[in-house]
Amino acid sequence: MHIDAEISRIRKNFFETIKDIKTAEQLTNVRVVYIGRKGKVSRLLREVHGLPADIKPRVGKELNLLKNEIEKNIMDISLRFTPGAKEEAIDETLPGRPFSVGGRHPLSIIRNKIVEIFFSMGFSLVEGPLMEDDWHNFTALNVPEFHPSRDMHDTLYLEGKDNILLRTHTSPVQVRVMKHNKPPLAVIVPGKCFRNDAIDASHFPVFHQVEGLWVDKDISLADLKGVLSAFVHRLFGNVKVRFRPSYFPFTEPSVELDMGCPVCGGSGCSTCGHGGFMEIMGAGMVHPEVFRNSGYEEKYQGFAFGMGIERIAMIYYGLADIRDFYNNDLRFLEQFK
Amino acid sequence: MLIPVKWLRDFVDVSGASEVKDILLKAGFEAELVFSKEKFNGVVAAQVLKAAPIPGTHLKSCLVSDGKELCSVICGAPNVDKGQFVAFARVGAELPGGIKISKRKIQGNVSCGMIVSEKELGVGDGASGIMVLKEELPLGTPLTFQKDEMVEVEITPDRGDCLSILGIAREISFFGGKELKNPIIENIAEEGAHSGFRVERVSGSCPFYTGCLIEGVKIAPSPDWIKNRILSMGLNPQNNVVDITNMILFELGQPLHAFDADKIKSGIIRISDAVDGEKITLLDAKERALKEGLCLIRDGDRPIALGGVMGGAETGVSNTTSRVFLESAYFEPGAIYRSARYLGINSPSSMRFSRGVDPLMVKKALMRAVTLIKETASGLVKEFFHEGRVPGKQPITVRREYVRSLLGVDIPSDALANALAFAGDVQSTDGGTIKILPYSWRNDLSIEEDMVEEAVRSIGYDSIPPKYPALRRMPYGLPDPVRDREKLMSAFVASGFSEVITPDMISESRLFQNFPEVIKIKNPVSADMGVARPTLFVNLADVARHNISRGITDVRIFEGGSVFKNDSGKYTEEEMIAGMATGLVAPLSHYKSEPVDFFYVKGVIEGAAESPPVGAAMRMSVSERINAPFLENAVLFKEGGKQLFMIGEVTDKALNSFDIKKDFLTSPIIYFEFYFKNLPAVAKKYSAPPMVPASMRDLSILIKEDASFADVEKKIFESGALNLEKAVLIDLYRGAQVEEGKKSMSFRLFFRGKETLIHSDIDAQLARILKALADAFGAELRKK
Repeated sequence: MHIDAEISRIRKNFFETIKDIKTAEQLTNVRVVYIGRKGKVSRLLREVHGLPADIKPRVGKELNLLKNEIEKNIMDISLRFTPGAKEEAIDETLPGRPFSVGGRHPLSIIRNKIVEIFFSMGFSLVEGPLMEDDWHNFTALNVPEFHPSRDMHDTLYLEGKDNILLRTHTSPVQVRVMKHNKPPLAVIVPGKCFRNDAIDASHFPVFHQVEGLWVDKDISLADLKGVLSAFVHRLFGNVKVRFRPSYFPFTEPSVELDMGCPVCGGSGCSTCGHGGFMEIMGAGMVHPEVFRNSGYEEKYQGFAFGMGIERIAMIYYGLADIRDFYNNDLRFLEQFK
Repeated sequence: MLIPVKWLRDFVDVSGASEVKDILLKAGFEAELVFSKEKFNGVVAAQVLKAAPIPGTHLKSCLVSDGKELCSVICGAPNVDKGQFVAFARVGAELPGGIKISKRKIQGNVSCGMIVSEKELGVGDGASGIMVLKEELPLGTPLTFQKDEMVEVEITPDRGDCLSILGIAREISFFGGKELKNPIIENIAEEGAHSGFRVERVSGSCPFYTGCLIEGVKIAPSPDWIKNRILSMGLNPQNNVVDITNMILFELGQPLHAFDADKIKSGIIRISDAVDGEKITLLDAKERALKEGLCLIRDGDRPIALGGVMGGAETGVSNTTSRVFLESAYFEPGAIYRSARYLGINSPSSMRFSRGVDPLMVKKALMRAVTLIKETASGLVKEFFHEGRVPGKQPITVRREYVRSLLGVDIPSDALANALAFAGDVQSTDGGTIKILPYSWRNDLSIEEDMVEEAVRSIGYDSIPPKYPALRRMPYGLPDPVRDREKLMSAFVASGFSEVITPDMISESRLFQNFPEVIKIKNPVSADMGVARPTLFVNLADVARHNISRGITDVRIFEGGSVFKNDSGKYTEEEMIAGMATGLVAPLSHYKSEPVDFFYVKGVIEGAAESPPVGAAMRMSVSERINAPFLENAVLFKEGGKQLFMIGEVTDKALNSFDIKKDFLTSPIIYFEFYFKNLPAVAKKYSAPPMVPASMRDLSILIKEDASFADVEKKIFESGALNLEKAVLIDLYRGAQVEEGKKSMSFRLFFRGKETLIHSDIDAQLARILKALADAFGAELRKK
């Protein structure tokens, strides 16, 4: 039919024409030619009146669709010619104005990750002094003065005071917390610790621990297993977790927690010493002597645990040398931003 | 504790080292497979090319090729033959026992090297002839031999009973389900008459002492099997008597000591404590000064051994000894630990006594030693001695209900009794309780919880189901001071500073004379870590140097840490944030960037402190110039009498002494300390945004040079001007347009009232401000 052919010819011509538009003037001309008051589409629309009744609605609808289509295309093209954009040609590939943020130290990042996981389980955070007395650091924790368990830590003592030392672990804070708080309580204690260790790839005289303590009437080893397994899974994903017997003077029973080696997945490699597991923390049920030294007269039960942040960070980030954390080479630190 | 697998097999059947390791892990012991080190070197694979008998001798003249050269070697072994591949010790090689191979003459024939036997290499017992290699190794290959499999077991301080082959065998027997072959030790009868010797026990540190006097002993090298065991434990064999005492220490865990009885002149063995000032020279040939209370063994009054720790040099067994007094005793663990620690000696003996030995093994070990001495050194058992009583143990009551509560899993009574049978004799089980007497060697078991651990060790940790405890207290998460600190640190990070973490111990020499009252560490790791740091400067300067010397010129770092102060005898630690900045404020680019300076750092600190809730109190701080170590132009800012922060420029002298190359720097190094704990708590008030727009006016004044910004700002607000909300310094000018001795300051003043302010009203406030500034500082309006 004559009018249908006309419509498709107009559409075809329109799309041919707009391919070559370079300027806003050209675009204005196209608008006038097609949808201006005397334009091609407008002219046909006026002719719809005279069409036979059986095709009139269909043709009218098609013409309106065409008009909308043309308007939309003209609008899109017109965006290219908006004022301002054409006034200054910019090289948008130039770098933006540099603005550098710093970053937290990887040990802080891992500490905060650990702490957040325990917050979500209901623990609250406590801190304690770095200079400790012998009683809190050892005796209160069931490490008597003349007992070989003292040899487990190489302690740094301070001159000029008897029995003042740099704490060798965060465990003395357990006693400090319990002296002032009655159960139920669930706390974590992150912080720096110090030992007279010779420096090598896995030892540094300064290191960080996160200590944990949950005490109530009926807390059991099963609770310890539940909480600590969940922690390992949150931090490291789906790895194997193994509990095995161990000894710490301040817990009874004591356990050591191993996780499946994330490097080899448990089949054994040089990272895990071919055992498939890596030791990540010590834990156990709080020794009754520790409760007694904390001034608890009633019967309580609870578990405690402690892990080295450096060790966790080394496993988490796949690092091999603890000294990197303390060299503070900015090229190293910047990776953790 | 080193466990040679071959020796372990005397007590329990095991397939090899890895089985031992796996079983011990279940029992709670960390173990590592080790192979004893080769005690020889310079021994290579070689071939015998010629072996001609030397007439009139049993020797053969051989020609040996080690791949590099041909050596003529004289060999006495009957089995040496042409074509054999052999172990050849070249000239210069070292064999076990410190034997060095050199060129030498054997019955007039020169021998350049030695064809060796297994025994000479210490790798086997074959002494009858040279070692013939089965594999045809390339000539010249250095030889190594896999010796006995060994397991190094880490023994925790509670388990003194496992510092022996027997102790480890017990664990393996239980956790591996294997039969324990207990050593058979027979009693020996006295063969002589009364010896005239006497034992007197005075010290409370030795509850039980036994001994035996043996006469007619023939001191000689030990037989090979004993020597090999001594070697396998990393010791050098000495003689039959001493080697036997050492071997029994490792085997049964009971330390023994052999005295030369002829050197005990008084005939009285007296166990009594030392008094201050006494001295003794021990077997390690060092003289030790003793103190009151250390347990001594004496010849009458003369100290001859430090009880439980080490024997004395004068009474030791030597090659000429013929009468031996053999000691086997039980010493109090605490007393021995004290002696050993006081004198800094960690002997195999003190290690065991201070962890507690098996009191019932004291006499058995003596019997075993006497038996072996009779076998290998002959001798006549003259008399046995024993003084004191074997310390006993108390039974422990274990409640099944308590086990359930502590482990979170119920163990039936029978199973519990079975599990505990490993730890002691079950004396009774009735109702919900089990009464158990720990075995004599289990010095680690004294309370019910110890038994709970034995129970869970026995049933395995895997049999405890994981649970989640119910929280019966509302957690608070982060305490406010920690939250505030974290917020401040985040603000420094946002400003481009990287957090560093450094050791709290530093070298005192780095402080120069700046901090006379430092806290020293008694036993530092090294001189580099001799004092607890009184400032964070030293560490930060080290970090700056580390990075600057690696070509990083933009360094912005901070640390949140503690400094330690000796406040005339009172030791305190104080938390602060300190930092250092140098280089360009914005990273290198084609855009313009400013070098770091005092005001950049001041702005960062002010910005960080703006972060709620610490508030804007800082703006009201007062400043003073101070002399600070390592710094020049240092300024301390205070608020309400408390120090808030300090900023200064690192001096050239400090740069020099910290080895920071000034040529590398693109700006001064600015150091700051931020005493954030002193920030006043500001209760912030919050309100809806203002409904009325502010009216702005710019005020430019000429004012004398010495009027500080802070004073001028303060005066503006104290002028009585109404509705003044904010005054911002927008221009500061000194120079040609302004007369000498004066400066121009322009403030943009923001006024806001309850309703929109009218011009004339604001003009009146401006006049008030100007008058106040004129009265206070002689300021005048600057004419354009």
